[in-house]
Amino acid sequence: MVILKRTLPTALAIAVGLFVLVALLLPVPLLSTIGTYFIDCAVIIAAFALFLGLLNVVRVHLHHIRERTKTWPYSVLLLVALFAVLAVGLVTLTPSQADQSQPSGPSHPALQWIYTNVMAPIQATFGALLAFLTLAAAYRLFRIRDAASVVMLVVTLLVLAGQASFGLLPVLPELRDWILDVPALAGMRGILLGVALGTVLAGIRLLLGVERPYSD
Amino acid sequence: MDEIGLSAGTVALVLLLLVFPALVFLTSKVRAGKSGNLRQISGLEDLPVSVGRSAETGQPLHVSVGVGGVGGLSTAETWAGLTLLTQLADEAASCDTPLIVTVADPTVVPIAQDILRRASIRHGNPDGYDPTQVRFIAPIPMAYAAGVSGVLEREPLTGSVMVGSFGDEYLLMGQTGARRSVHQVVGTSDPATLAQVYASADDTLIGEEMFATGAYTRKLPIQIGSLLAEDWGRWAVAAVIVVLAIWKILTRA
Repeated sequence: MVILKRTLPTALAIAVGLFVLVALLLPVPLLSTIGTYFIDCAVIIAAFALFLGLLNVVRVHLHHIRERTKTWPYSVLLLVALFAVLAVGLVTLTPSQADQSQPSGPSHPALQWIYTNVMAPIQATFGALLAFLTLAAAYRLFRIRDAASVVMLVVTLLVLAGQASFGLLPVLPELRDWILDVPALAGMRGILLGVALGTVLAGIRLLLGVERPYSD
Repeated sequence: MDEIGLSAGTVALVLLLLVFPALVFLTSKVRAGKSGNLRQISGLEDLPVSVGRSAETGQPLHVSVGVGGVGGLSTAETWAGLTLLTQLADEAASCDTPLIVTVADPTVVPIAQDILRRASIRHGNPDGYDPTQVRFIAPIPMAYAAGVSGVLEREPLTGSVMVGSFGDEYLLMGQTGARRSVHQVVGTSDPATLAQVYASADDTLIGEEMFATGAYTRKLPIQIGSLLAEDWGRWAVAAVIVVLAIWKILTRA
């Protein structure tokens, strides 16, 4: 059982991971073909995972309805909307016999209408909220009295002043550009370099089977 | 890199060949007890406290592994979140603490469920595993953020741990958590999002700190060795940048 539960998944993950890595690094056509095959397999598994995700949504919200949690009416609404859109998608999956040129599947006008008139406006609404949330986050940060907050407050005010100086103080736009191009960019590059090194070493730990969330 | 005649594959190979020996050397030093002091990261040190608080109150802890999945560009960040989830699931199972795990990518659903199931079995409580603890919210980042905001708003949570790939949509979740005084530990790699995280979370895992969770919780020599190798790498890159900058200044003059 230990072999099935621990050794086999770990050995498979390490072997496939190393193979794909070697195929990426060495320009050998055979390795590249097999590596691409493994990646294609992952894509197919990922597509099947969407079905598991759908089952998860149904299961979680049926649980809410059965247990009569505080939010169960929303769960009913969600399931009705989910199955309604799914039904529309399935009905429009194949082009009609009468007009083969009519788009089908996700590009069918019915699904496009749902996307344009329901999904897009809701997403745009949430996107618009971000400006106010940024302001609220900044207010919360500036109430915290530590050195980093003071630095952030001063820099933010300088950048804002540079953005809206209306030509009254020509030095402010220059100062804003310097802040964005030198210290801010240097900090961002430092973070990105750290992330790159962290990613490489996390990959090595994964390939060595040190960290394996997929098995015991 | 093409400008200096190096392909991405070559750069990756060189990086691996440089980093791997350093990792082996530093791991052996840690094993021999000659090295291995980790700097303090308050976000990671507070995690057991968050789980303990959940155990005391009986209220769940929210865990998010970001808006990315396994197999895309954000695999590394998602994997960091899943590694952390493995540790949290173990601690939660040991003191019978409920977790609510929200995911945005369907590829993460079976992995997260498996992590929770195995943690319950390891701690002798297979019946404690509830598959609805993992909730697939939505694959679109903004819709995911709206769904998680609802969870943070309505569920009686003691804390929220979010480690993974996040974009601008993070603020929707972060501000909801901050408004409800939910203790938030958040880690991500996108510098633009990090500014928002810093403004709304109680503890921030900046950039590569999110990949260090395993070393801080399990403390295996190879994990500590890999963090030390990372530090060596950072110093080496900084030295190369300084040398190249000086060289450029001198050649220009």
